[in-house]
Amino acid sequence: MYMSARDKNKKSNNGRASSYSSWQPHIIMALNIVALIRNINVLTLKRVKSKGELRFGVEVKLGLGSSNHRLLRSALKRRREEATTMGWIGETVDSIKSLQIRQVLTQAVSLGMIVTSALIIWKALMCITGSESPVVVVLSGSMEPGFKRGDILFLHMSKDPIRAGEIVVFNVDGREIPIVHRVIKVHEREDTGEVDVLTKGDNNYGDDRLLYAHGQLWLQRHHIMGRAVGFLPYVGWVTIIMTEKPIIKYILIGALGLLVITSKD
Amino acid sequence: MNSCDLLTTPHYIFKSLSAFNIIFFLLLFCLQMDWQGQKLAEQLMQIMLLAFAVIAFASGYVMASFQMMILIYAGGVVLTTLLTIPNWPFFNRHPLVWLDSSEAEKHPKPQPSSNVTQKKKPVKK
Amino acid sequence: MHSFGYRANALLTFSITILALMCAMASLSDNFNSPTPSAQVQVLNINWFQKQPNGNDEVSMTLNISADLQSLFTWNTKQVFVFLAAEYETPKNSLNQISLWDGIIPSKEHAKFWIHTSNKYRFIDQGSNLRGKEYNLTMHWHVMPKTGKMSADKIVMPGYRLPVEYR
Repeated sequence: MYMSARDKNKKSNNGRASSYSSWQPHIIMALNIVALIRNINVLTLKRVKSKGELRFGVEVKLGLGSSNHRLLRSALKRRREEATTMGWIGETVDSIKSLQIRQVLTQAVSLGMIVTSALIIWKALMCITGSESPVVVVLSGSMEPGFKRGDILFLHMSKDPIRAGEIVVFNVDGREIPIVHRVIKVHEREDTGEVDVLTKGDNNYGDDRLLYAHGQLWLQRHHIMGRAVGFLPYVGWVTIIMTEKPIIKYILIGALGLLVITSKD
Repeated sequence: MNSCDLLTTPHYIFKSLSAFNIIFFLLLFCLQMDWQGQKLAEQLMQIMLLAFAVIAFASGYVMASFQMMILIYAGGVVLTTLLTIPNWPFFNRHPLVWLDSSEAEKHPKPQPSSNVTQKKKPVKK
Repeated sequence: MHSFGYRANALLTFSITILALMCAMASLSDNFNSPTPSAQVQVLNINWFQKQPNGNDEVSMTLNISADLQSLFTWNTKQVFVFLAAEYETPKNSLNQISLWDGIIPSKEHAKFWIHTSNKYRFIDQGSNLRGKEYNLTMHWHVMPKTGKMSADKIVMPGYRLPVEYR
């Protein structure tokens, strides 16, 4: 009839932590990649405009090449045309040089803009959500089938009291990676308003006391970094692949760099 | 003779086909569209994707199936890709006409109108 | 330059933007769904009720839970996490929520169920306040979408009382 969380439990995932990694460096990188591609487009589009003169030069050169075969041409005319060619070549080289400098500068400026705007967006998100890392990637399967590895969670940290059933991200003392699990027990103090919270992964057999620091029975407010409010599937795989296989990251960056460098027609 | 022909014909077909394929591939993926074609391709891409998105969302909502929405949209993206990314002859109906070099010689470039010639003067001495 | 690569990139960017928009709209369309779930819980038996050596009260009970959560499911629902919590006040704590049972409902077909079970998680108080305590049983559910915003709600069923004596 129903599927109990306990029945869904597979193998020995008791005490498995649903950890996540910060999305920050990767979101910036992804934005960079997108922006780089767009940048290339913008540049190539710009080049079409400035290409008028370039194409012109090429055309004249070609015209000369074919006209050289004509024996009927007078020497004077030829000399004048050669001078023109030299002029054209110089002109072309000059225009390419100036174009290159302008391109490099434009690229550098727009790259800087992209990086800074990505940072601004990130910091603004941090301010709005009140959470240190507003977007996190799920790394393990202790919340399956709700959250799978590679899903993205949007966190929000508000002043609202923590209640049972909420999915919270918490940091345990002496543990590097924060954990995303569901609250199953809450005891809120009458006088101070402090809370004692117990969590459990939906796909784990037992509660999280095994994951807590030695002898710790409850989580307090200060352990909790945020609660999950939104969900996006699969997108986090980009991050996971890039952290676990750095080669792919370097290949990607290298390829994009090459694209930028060689995108001069 | 006849038997020989029969034997060789498939070979010729294959040869000519492969050459045709290569040229066709080059035409499809390497050459650029003409200006009208670019505009058409861009508009076609946007209109098709939007139309498929609307269809996908509507059918997904009506059939209460998220998967259906994703499948229809994915199909739409594939179709749009096939239609707008290769350089179909369809996009090259308005080729740019370049002046022949001998033609260009008979009709010299209008000197004052181009900025390039003006800029060129100091180089020429 | 309006090359193959440029067109491919434009198509990719545009299609992903539209996909994101579609997902956002799917998430928003959940707001049009006004669910009317129902739930009944009976406490069939208090199996045992005792004071632990460290002074905390612990209860074990047998529950009969029936619920119809079919209306919670929309086309953008991946699963519904449902749990039953005992909620009560004590002099020390203004709120105690203790999860007694939970389950994951993967699809609409499984959303109408009844189950006969003892409490899955231990019902332990912080202290010794459970004798004769009146408590609410609350059916909470947490809707997990395929994409977008998660939502939660509950039905409060008041008027349950624990026995006055340990047994």
